Amino acid sequence: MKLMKQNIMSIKKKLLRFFFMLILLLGILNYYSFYHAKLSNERYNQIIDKIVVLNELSNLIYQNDLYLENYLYTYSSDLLLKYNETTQKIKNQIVKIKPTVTGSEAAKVIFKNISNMTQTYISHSNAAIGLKGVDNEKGYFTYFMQSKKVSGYTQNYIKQLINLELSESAEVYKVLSENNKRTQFISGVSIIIAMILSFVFVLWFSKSITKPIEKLVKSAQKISEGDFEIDPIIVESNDEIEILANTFNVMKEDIHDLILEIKGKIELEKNLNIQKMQNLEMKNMLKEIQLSALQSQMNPHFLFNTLNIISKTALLNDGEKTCDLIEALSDILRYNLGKIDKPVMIKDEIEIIQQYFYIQKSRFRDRVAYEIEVEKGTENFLIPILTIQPLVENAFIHGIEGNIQGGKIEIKIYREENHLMVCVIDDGVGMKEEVIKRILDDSERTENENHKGHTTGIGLKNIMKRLRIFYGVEDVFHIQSIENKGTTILLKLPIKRETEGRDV
Amino acid sequence: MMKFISIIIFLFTAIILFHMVWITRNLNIEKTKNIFSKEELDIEKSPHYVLISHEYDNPYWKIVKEGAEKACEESGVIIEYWGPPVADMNTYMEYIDTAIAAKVDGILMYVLNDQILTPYINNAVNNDIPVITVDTDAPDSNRNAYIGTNNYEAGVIAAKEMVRITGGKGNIGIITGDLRASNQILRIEGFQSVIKNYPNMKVVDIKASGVKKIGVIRAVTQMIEDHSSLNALYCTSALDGIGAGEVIVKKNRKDIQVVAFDDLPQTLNYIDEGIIHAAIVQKPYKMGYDGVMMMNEIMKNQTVPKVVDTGVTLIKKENVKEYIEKNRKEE
Repeated sequence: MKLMKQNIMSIKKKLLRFFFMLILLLGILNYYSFYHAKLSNERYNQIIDKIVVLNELSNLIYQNDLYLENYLYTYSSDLLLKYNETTQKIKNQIVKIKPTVTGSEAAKVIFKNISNMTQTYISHSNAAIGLKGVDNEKGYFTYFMQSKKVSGYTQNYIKQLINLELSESAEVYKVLSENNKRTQFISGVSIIIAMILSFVFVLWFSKSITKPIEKLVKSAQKISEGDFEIDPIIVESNDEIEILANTFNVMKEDIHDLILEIKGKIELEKNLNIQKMQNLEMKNMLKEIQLSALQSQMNPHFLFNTLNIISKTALLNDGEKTCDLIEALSDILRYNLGKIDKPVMIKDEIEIIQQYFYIQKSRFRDRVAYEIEVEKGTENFLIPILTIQPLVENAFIHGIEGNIQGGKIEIKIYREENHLMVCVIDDGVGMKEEVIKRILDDSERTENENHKGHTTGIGLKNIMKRLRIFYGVEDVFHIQSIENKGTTILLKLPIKRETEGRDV
Repeated sequence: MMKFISIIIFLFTAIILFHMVWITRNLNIEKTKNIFSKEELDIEKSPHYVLISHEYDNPYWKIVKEGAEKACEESGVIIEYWGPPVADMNTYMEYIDTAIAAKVDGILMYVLNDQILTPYINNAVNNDIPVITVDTDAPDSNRNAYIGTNNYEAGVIAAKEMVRITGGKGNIGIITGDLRASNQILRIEGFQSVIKNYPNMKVVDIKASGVKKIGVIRAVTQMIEDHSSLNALYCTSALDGIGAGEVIVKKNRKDIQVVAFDDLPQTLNYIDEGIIHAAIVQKPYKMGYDGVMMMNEIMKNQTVPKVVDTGVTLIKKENVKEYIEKNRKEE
């Protein structure tokens, strides 16, 4: 999955770029408007300027006329000063006006005339003043009148020039006006377009950010609800959002994997715990069993009865039998008192069963018959200690002791595919349905059964439980019973490497 | 998407920039208008003449102006065209004074009345401004030259034609533009110098039309009404002939023979239609053109003839069409 592309452009850059362009555009628009206004203004000013300076000249000449006239009447030196000042101003004004006459040739010609006439006017005025000074009354008056005349013509021409400038300016006004209109139009349109563009861009841009974020939010929500089956989020905007989406996808996958892993581990641990629990249970049970076994491995009743028989036999002076009986008892006791969780071979268990039968035969003589069939090859199989023995004892109690006629006990051990089958069959009184049920119901604890007649206190339930733990399967213990007909207890023991002997 | 927007913005900026440049150029262009010359003249250095006409809008004088303009164009001279809206002696005096005050390089002028204007002409000459009189002379002044029609002679020619068409019998009414005008006076004098030799030819009335057409119509109408025996009209200025023609058409007096002056289009039409018999045609264009050329020579201190007679043509029905054609080609 790609996390970084080469040509990534961060959101910041995008925004900057956009704003830069927008500001640039607006700046240009602004400057354009400003520049155009400035130019227009300048042109307007130019036009007005022309008129203004011409007007000023006209005013100066008019003033000068007054000064001259008044001076010639009053001979005041003050007025002479003012006259000279104004005359100079007039000359300066002509200089000032000259560069503003930029229009047609007609205008320039008129200005030339004005300029020359102004000179004529000034020379006539000065002449008048001069002649007045030397008291040439007639002379100065002539010049004075001439000066007035020329001043009149000059004013006329100034007016003409003003008119001409105005009418020429009208052209310029028109152009300016059109320009202004066009500029306004363009500015207006530009601004509208700029606004529309900005609007569109902002919409698009914000969408490009919010849409992926929405997707992310939705996906995040789904993930928070535990649904990892969402599609990866695809964003191609070349910016941080894309990175975000990509990393989100990666994280989602990783988290998903981790969760699965953890789940797996939890499962494992659970199993482990179950195992541990089972082990603990087993150990507990074993301990319990050991305890009760230890307690009950030595069933006093069986001891009493057997000792009874031994004493009776001893009384009868049957020393060999007595010896045999004592040996059998001691074998049984030794076997029973052995470690309870140690597996033994089938043949060992059978041997002890045979010792048991020997003792019982001594008591019951013909009332008990037994048969032991062990398939060849199975003798060395391992089974938990004291699993068949108590079954036999059980069969004995229910099959033989309760029956006046006695009964028969069969033990069949054979191999069936992957299982070792151990059958203990008696033809005694059988077991009631509820009894069978109670035994098979694993939930009840090992109860204190009536163990009268047993060598051990180990009940069927105990055997069943131990077998289940030992073999790790449930289906090991079967009871079939018909009342007054008999009982068959069937052990179905799976053959595993550990239960087999060293060499099979 | 970004790219698209960028392109639009770029285009926009380009348009605006282009527009800015365009405006700047537009606003900075000064439209140059010339009065008479087509090329830029250096106002300071070029000779500067003034043409003072009889009346500003007078079509005859417009032709003089044309001739003068052409000469100016060819010789790099600036010329101003002045003229009162209505013929006014004071205005001519003012014009001369103005020209002197403006220190022009030369004055070409119409002389309304030579006696009155001679002092002014002399004043100009005293101020080192050469003066050439045009169309009408002030022969006693210090003017440098006269260019125009010999008005006395023109009157003579007109009279001779009048005698011919009336068969020596005629009651003639004279319509003149301005009784003060020297050229009109001369034309009448010339005319009368011939007529007086014919006992059956008599001038019954002389009226001034004031040069304007309305004045002409009024004068002619009045004259016709006043003199029922009138059978000929001598019109001494351009518009007089046209006015006379109009009245004749309106009053249906095609029996009245008309001798007119100048070649305004309507005059020529009337000749073609037989309403005006003949016209004495001057050469205003030549006056204008040659006048300027003469002034140029004066400026260069060359000698020029004192009097230049531009001559007249007698246009009658026989040659009017040809005359019109020739003029059209020259335009």
